[in-house]
Amino acid sequence: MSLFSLLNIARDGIQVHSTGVSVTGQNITNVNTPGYVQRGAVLVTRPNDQGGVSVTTVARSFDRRTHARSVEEHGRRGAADARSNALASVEAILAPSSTTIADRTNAFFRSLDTLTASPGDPSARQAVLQQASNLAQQISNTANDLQTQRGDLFNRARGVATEVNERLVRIASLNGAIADATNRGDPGNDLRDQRDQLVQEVGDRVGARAVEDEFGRVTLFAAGGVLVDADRAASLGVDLDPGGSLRVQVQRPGAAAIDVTSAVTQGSLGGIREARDADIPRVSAALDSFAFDFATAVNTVHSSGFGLDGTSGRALFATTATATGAARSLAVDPALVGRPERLAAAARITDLPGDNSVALQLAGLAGRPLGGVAPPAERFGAIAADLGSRVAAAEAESTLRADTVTQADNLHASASGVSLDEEMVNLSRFQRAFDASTRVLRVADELLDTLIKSF
Amino acid sequence: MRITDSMTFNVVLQGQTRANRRLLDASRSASTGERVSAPSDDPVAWATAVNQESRISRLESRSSTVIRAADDLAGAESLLDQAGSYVQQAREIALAAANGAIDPNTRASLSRQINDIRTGLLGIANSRGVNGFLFAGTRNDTAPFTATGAFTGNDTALSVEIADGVSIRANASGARAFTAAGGRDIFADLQSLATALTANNLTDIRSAITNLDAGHQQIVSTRIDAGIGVERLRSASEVADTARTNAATARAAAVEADYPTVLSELTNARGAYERNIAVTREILQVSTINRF
Repeated sequence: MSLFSLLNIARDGIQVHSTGVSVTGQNITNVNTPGYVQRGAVLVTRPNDQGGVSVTTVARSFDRRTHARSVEEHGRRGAADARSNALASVEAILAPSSTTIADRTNAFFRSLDTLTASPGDPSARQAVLQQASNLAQQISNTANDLQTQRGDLFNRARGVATEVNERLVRIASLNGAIADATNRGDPGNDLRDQRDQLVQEVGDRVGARAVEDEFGRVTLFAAGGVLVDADRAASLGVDLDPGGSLRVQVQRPGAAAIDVTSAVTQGSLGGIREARDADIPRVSAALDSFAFDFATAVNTVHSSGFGLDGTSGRALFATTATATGAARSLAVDPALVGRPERLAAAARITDLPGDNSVALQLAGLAGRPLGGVAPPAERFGAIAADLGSRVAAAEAESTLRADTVTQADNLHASASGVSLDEEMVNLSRFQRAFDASTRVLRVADELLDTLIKSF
Repeated sequence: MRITDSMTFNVVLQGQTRANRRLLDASRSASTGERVSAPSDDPVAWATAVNQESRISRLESRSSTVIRAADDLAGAESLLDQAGSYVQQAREIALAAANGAIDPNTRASLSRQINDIRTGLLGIANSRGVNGFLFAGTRNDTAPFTATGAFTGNDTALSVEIADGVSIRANASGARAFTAAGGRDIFADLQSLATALTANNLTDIRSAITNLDAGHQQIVSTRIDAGIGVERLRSASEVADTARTNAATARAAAVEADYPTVLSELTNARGAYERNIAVTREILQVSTINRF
C-alpha cells in the first residue's frame, strides 16, 4: 500500500463521514415530517484490500410489518372516531341540555291537568293546544334534525371518498416513480416516504392493507377490493341506494363499478356508514314509533270526547297512518289550530262545558304505558338511554382505538422513526471520524512532503 | 426498543389529553352540581332522572289542581253552612208563625222575611268559585237557579285525580242540596211558606216546618259530603307533596353529584394536570442536544 493510497483512504473517510453527517442532518431536519423514515448511510469497505470505505446506499429503516399494523389500527380508530363524533351530535339533537322531548311531554300533561280543573276555561284550553304544538314541534324538529344529520354524513362520506381518490391517484403515480427509481438503482426513499404516508392516510379514511412487490410498488387493498395496482388507481364512488342508505362502489379503469358497501367497515368512511345507516335509523325508528303511539293514544281518547262546540270525533294530533315518518309529520290537527273551543274535555254533550272526564283521561295518559311499553316520558327516556349507551360505547371504543393506535405508532416509530438522541450521537460519531480522516490526510501530506524534501 | 422523539411526544400528548379531559369533567360536575348531564354519561341514571322528573311534574300539577279544587269545595262547604243557617232561620220563623196567638198582619210581615231569606239563599246557590258556578254541576258557565228557583244545572261530578287512576268528586251537588233530587225543593218550600204566611194558612205553615226540617237536613248532608271531599283533597295534596319529595330525592340520587366527592375529584384532577405539566417539562428537558 503506497502513500498515495493513504491519501485515497483519507479522501474516502472524509467523503463517507461527510455523507454520514449529511444523512444525520437530514434525519434531524425531518424529525417532525409526517411519514419520514429514518435514513442510514450504509458503509462498506472498499474491496481488494484498498483500505478505503464507500457509501453503497442511504437506506430507510423501514419496518413494513409495524407499518402495516399502524395502518390497520389507524383504520379502526378512524371508524371509531367518526362514529363517536356522529353519535355525539345525534345525542345533542335527541337530548339537548336545555329542553328535551320528555320536558315537553311533561309540560303537555301539566296543561291537561290544569284543564281538568277548568275544562271550560279558554286560557286553559289554549295552553293545552300551545303545549301540544310545542311538543309536536320538538318531536318533528328532532326527526328533521336527525334526517339533516344523515344528509351531513352523506356529504362527509362523499368528501372522504374524494380525499381517498386523490390519495389513490398519488399512490399509483408514486408507485410508478418508485419502480422507475428502483430500475435506475435509486432506492427512491423520499418517494417511498410519501407513498407510505399516503397509504396510512387512506387507511385512516377507509382502512387499508398494502403489499409491496419486487419493484417497490404496493398493491393497496381497501374496502374489500384492490384500489391501487401498480400505477393504476381505482376510485371510490359514494351515492345513495334506493332505500336511502350509503352505497360505496369501486370503479376500476375500464371495468364496471363494483358495490363494496358491506365491506366498508373501517376508516372514517366505515364509521360514518355505521352511524348514518345503522345508529341514526335506529333512533329515528324509535322516535317514529314513540310519536305514532303517542298521537294514537291521545287521539283515541280525544276523539271520544266533545268540544265546547258540541262536536265529537276530532283528533288532537295530525300524523301518519303508520309509524313510518310519524315523528316528522307530527303536528296539532289543523282543525284545532287557533280553535281552543274544539278541544274535547267532556265525555257527554249534555255535560258541557264543565265535564272534565275526557280531560282526566288525557291527563291520565301520562302514567299509562304507551303502546304497551312504558309511559310517554319513560319511553322517551329509554330511547335516549339506548342512544346514550351507544354513544358511551362508541366513546370507549374511540378511546381504546386511540390507545392501540398510539401503541402501534410507537412500535412503528421505534423501528422507523427518528430519535434525536441517537442522531446527536451519530452526528458526534461522524464528526469525530471526519476529524480523524482529515488528520490522516494531513499526516499523509506531511509524509509525502518529507519524502519529497529528502531528495 | 428505540425511543424516538415522536414516541416521547405521543406519551406527553396522550397524558396531557387525559389530564385535560379529567379536569374538564371534574370542573363541569363541580359547576353544575350534576354528575350526569347527557345520556351517555350514565344511560341508566339519565333514564331514571327522566322518569323521576316526569313523576315530579305530574305530582306538582296534581297537587296544584287538587289544592285549587279543595279551595273551591271548601268555599262551597262554607256557603252550604250559611245556606243551612238561612233555612234554619226560615224554620224558626215558621215555628213562630205557627203560634195561633200571632195576628195575620204579623204573619204577612214574616212572609216578607221569608222572601228575603229565599232571595239570600238563591244568591248562595248561584255563587261562583274559581271554576264557575259552584252548585251548577258541569253546567257551570251559567247560574244554576233562576229567579223562580228552577234548577238549570245538573248533578254531574267534576272529578279530580288524587292518585294514578283514582279520582274523587270535587264539586258540591247543588241539585242534592237545594232541589227535590236531595229530597226537598227548598226554594219551592220557602215559596209555599211565604204564600201560607200571606194567606194566614196555619195548616200549610205547620207542614212547611216539617219540609224545612228535611230541607235543612239535606243541606247539612251535602255540606258534610263537601267537607269530607275537602279533607280528602287536602290529604291527597299532602300525599302528592310527600311523593314529589321522594321523587326529587330519587332523581338527585341518580344524577346529582356528591359535593365532597366532586370537590375531591376536582382537586385531584387539578393536581394530576399540574403534575402532568411538570413531568412534561422534565421529559422535554432531558435531551442530549446541548451535551455534545
